[in-house]
Amino acid sequence: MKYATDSAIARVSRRGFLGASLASGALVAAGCSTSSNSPSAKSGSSGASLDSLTWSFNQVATNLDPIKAGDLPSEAAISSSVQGLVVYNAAGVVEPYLAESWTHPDPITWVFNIRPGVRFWDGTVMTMEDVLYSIDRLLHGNGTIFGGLFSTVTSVKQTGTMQLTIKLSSPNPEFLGLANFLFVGQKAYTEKNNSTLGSPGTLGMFTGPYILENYVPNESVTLTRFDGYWGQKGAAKTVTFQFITDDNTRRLALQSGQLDGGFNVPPTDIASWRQISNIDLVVKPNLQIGYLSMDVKQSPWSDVHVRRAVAHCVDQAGIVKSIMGGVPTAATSITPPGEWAPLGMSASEALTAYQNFQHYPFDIAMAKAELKQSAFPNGFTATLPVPPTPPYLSSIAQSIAQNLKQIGITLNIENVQENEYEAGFFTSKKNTGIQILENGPTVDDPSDFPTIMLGQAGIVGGGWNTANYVNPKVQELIAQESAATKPSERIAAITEMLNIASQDVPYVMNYWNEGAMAISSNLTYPGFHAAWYCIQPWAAQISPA
Amino acid sequence: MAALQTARTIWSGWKGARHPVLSFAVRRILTIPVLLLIISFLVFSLTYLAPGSAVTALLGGRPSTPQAIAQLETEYHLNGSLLHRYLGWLGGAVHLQLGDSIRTSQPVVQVIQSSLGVTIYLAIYAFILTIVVGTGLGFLAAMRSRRAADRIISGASVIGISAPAFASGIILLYVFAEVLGIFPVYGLGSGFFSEFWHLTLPAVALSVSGMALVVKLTRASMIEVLDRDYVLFARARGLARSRILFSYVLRNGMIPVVTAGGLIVIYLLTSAVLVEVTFAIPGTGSLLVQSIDFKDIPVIQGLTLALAALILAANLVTDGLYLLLDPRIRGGLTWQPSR
Repeated sequence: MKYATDSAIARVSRRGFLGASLASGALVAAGCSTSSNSPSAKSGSSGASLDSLTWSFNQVATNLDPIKAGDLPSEAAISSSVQGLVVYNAAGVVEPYLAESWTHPDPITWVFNIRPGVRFWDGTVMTMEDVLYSIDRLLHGNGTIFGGLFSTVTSVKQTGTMQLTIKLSSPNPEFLGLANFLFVGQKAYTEKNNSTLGSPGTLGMFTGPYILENYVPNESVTLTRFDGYWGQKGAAKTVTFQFITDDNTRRLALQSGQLDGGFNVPPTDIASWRQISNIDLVVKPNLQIGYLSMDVKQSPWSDVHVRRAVAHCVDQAGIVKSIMGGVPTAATSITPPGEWAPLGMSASEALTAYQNFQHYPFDIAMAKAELKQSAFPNGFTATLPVPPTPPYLSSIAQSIAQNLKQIGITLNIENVQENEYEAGFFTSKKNTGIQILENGPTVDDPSDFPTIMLGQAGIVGGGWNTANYVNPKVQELIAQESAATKPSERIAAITEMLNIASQDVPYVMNYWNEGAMAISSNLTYPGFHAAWYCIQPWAAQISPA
Repeated sequence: MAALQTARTIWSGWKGARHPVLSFAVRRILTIPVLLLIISFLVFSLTYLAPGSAVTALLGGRPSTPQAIAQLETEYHLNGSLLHRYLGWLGGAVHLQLGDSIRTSQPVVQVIQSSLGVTIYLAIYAFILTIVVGTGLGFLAAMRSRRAADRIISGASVIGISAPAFASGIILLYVFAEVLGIFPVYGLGSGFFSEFWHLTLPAVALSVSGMALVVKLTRASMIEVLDRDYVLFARARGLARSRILFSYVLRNGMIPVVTAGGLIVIYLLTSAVLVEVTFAIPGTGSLLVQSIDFKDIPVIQGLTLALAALILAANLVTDGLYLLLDPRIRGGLTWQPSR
């Protein structure tokens, strides 16, 4: 979504806008690397365990009730405590979690075998009653934000001692990935504290490797290790997850050893953070995409030659290198190459497949030639609204506007507030014009972005088809790939819809983004995935190096 | 109508009362609820009119359906006209029921309590620093007027006035937390003394600008008072230097500083946001920014009202002090021509 950050979920910006604007002066950049630092990890005697771990995020968690946790810091705050039926591993592939196995007998049926003997933090054993209650609360509970995501679920039934069967109204190959959100909490505790769950005092009763011990809103969440956990236990006895919205402050705290690490390092800060001697930066693809969206129902964007001319004016290499510090990759299609892994296709195979698509190299002469074929050979004037976060969107917009000027298109950049930006095109799909966006994945699957951005179903309030793009052939391919059972059939259908999109260019792709984590040199976190860390039990996966 | 008549009678009664200070205070206190009502309506309608919706923020960009959106709107009372929703809110507010935060689901009263305490602690700490250090230095500069100490203090206060709180915050952090390692970089700690320790750098950062202003005001006002005839006369009478300074110079010289004191409290409360973000302190400033971003109307309403009440109270206290310090103004309060 727009500012998503490395989001597990396409999401509205939890703006770190203050953080961003305050961080603008690199006031402390000079001289920082000279200070000596104490080792930040408070290692235990053997080196295999830690007394404490202090981790950070540059936004503030909003809500720790899993059915209301809609932003990255909230998800990350509870992801070592709250468990779903499945989880993503470091490669972005679905693994068993509270479900130890599953079958998919027909395109609309999913059968999960629930892990027996799992204990809640109070020692009681998780039952099917807890599972059914929790899923019902997630789908229909008061204030749930998952109602829409699971709207195709028609029934959830117990079909064996520890077996759960979920039926859908229509085929959805992404459903297994979505099952990571099917969190299980203790029914008795949740019923008793239904409306205050996630607030200080009633943080919940779950099964994960870390107990939600304490929560100071807007400041921190404290976790303690759960020794009765069924899986791999964590190294740290206590973990503090600290919210520090100013990245300059975060940097100083890392440097002085008061923090052991943190998620969501802004791409533009990566180069300078690498200078911190006691900290390592881990940068990996986070499955976020940055792009321009043009309303194909609205003049002048309805003219395909105009859209192609715009595509020729985007200097991807320059944007990546000069504006985004060389971190992301220039995008050659909608789907990030890393999202093909669940279908058994590697990133390099995906890039090879993308070579057959229509491409629009940065070339002003070609852009001019393309515009000559349109109904606006001499150009026109239009407005591009730009939200305040992430801060680099504005620079990218300026760069594109400068290039467009050379072919006669005057693109006025209008800085708008986040709310206004969302209301302008995201909530209502009328006259969306040209937009600049950043969007993160909902599930790890190659169909994730193309179906919501190209499918007709995405043309609703809150939908991601911001270009109002409709193509019967694409609709057919979406239906085909949803119902397909073999990965090869899905690969063929998804590749074809991406190819069609490359010719119709409702979206001009700018980059595939990467996400960064800072971690003390004394620690290691091999399972880090830049998109899915916020639903992984990260606190249990970080250990002394 | 009768009630209105009674109110008018009471009003005019107070206006002409024998105790001008008391009547002034009562009048000022009576206007506070009216002002708060106006502020609450203005803030509510501005938030209502601003584009975007809390539901979009709640969903965080997740795919949704019209039914799911309608359910959330009902859950958080987000449908209905402006007036309908405002009256609904007001109905709760007069019974001190401010509802639950849309963003965090916690009761608004609880959200405000936890953050306001921190901000008030920080503001009081910074206020004491501002006044004690500011008047002290200003006094010193006035006594050493046009000498080296004065030049240094005045020069530093020019820098202080121009330094934005977040910039001085980062510099203080770098020097005192990073290089010298004396203070913690972020957070609040727990317990009074730990909080005091954690809030020291933030309070210094927050007080720098106000302190510089107080230095300038005190210095100018003191120099003026020192030149007055009554000071010269007091010296001629051979009064003790300390008595002249404290009873004559300081008391008269403090009037502009007290006036500025009210403004400084308001400044400290409102600019705390920048310092709170820099030092990762969970106070009202950062809470308000996050709530506005989220269109979390119950918290925005509750918090602006609490802050407005604090600011009105600060103004009231300032004016009260003003009266205590300057008997001439007390006389000016009565509506009758002075005797």
